[in-house]
Amino acid sequence: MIPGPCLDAETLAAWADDRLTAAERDAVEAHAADCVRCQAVVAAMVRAEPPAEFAPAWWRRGSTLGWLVPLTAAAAAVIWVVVSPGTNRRPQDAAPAETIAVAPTPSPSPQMTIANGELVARSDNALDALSARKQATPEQNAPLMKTEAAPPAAPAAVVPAPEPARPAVSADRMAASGALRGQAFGNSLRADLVPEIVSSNPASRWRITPDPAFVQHSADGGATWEMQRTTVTTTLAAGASPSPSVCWLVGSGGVVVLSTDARTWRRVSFSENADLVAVSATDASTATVTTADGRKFSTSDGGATWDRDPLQEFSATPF
Amino acid sequence: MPAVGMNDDLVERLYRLAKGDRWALPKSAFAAALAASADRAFTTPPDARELERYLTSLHLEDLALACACGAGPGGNDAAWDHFVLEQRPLLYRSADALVPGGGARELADSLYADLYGLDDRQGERRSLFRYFHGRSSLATWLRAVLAQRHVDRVRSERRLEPLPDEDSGPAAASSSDPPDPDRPRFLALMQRALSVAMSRLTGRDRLRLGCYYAQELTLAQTGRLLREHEATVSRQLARSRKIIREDVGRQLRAENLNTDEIEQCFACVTEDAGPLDLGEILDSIRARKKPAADRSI
Repeated sequence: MIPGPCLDAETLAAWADDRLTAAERDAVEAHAADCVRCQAVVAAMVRAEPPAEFAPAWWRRGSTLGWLVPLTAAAAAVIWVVVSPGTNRRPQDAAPAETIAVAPTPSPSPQMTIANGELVARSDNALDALSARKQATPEQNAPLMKTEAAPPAAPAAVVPAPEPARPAVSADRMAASGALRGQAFGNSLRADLVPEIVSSNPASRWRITPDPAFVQHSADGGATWEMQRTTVTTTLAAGASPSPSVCWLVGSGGVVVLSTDARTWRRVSFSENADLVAVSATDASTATVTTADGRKFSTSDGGATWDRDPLQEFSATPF
Repeated sequence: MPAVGMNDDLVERLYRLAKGDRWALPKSAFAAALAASADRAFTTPPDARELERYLTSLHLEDLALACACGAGPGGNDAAWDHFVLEQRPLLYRSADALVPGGGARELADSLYADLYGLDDRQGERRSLFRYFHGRSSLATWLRAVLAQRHVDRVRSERRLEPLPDEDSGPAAASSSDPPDPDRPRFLALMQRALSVAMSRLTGRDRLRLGCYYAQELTLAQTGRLLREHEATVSRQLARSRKIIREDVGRQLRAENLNTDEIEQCFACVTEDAGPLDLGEILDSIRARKKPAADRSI
């Protein structure tokens, strides 16, 4: 069926149409795994494919065994999550994340479904989240708990992008923008843990994924996560969640996205094409973003207009 | 190729399913196409039941259409009209998806010409349809052929691109900084360690990494290719990265590097990957296994 070392069109097409036997598919994947040309061809086929509805036909046995890989101390030494000092504040009356009573929320179907354009994938991520919590030491878990929200009257906790983690988050976009793919891959090896953006109710939280088109949201304190489509393609770097249903995310190239229902996202206009590295917010209308060069812009109308920080403007003038 | 026996009843039934009479396709030509498809699929002669199951699973209408288009001088006019109406727009759409702006249109046109069989050798029309055997849909097969040609053209153009000047790039930008004497050694160590670590992954894990990082497919696209949910793709990528990190760390410690040096090794590939290229790493893994030749129709 697979004559010659490289895959011919008949084989590639049968693979794309899921017409290969299991043994043939294994052989094809084994070849394509190490053949850049064949990988490029299948990638081109995927890009040239007309849009189709998602159909998760079947699940490979191996896909559920990832949680068995232990996080060794040696690996922890090279996994680097840098957190800016001063943001590791815990609510004084908050219990540890694992024991927080989660407010009951409607449980979605455990099946993999698409609802309103969102991808719901709870069971696999639940395994992932649970296994990470089981295997990580409390010290290793600590960096994941740094973005607690401030009291409601105060701005939500700022979650600036940790320096090494920002390159990791931006690795995907660097690749997409034509930068060295090796650097993107290397960045992803360097810092794979992304801080969680926890709302004023710790049950509701988000986390940024390597693919900026998606973020993950949990309504049960991180036990399970669901994918949410953000509609952006540039790197996301930081976020703030002043309430369980509101989350602001910012990233490179002046990208600002906002969710006000904990499910859907919209791009908010921002006049500057500057990389945004931090955001603080009090609600869905009021937020302050910080650019990579330290400038601050604020909005009080949900991002319709932005003003530069008047203090900054004042300090910029000599007299 | 093993001989494949088909009885007339089976051919008759499949011909009806394929609606071969729409194109006045001779049954003998259709039978020959079925036999060619079975010959290609089976390395040993199948039993009758297995053969029937295989032939029944084919995209029979597409196979009949391809036969009618490719058979005889110029093919069947009605079949060609049908093909142009149904498949050519898809072909152009696929070409536009590959190269927005129409850059791949000429590829689609040349493919169309090859399907028609303009390459007339010794008076015999040779249509590209002879390579379609019905295991996939005709549209998918056309997309595969187009993708092959596009990739081969891009790869051949890259080979002709001039090398960048030595005084350009990150090295030039930071030329005022003294070069790190350990950097070349660390990069070499990382390159080797990554190559070894990746070779120890399963083929599927390497394929997933290659599709996502080297080919820059999205999570959704990678998931469609591997028949995985994109959340699973994301999780499996994270798992693979973790495995690679641990493996690389072990290898670097085996090279008697201390923790600081290991950190510097990782820092090398995040600040500036230099020669580090995931595609090259995958190629090196393949080269160690078996040499291969490019092949496309």
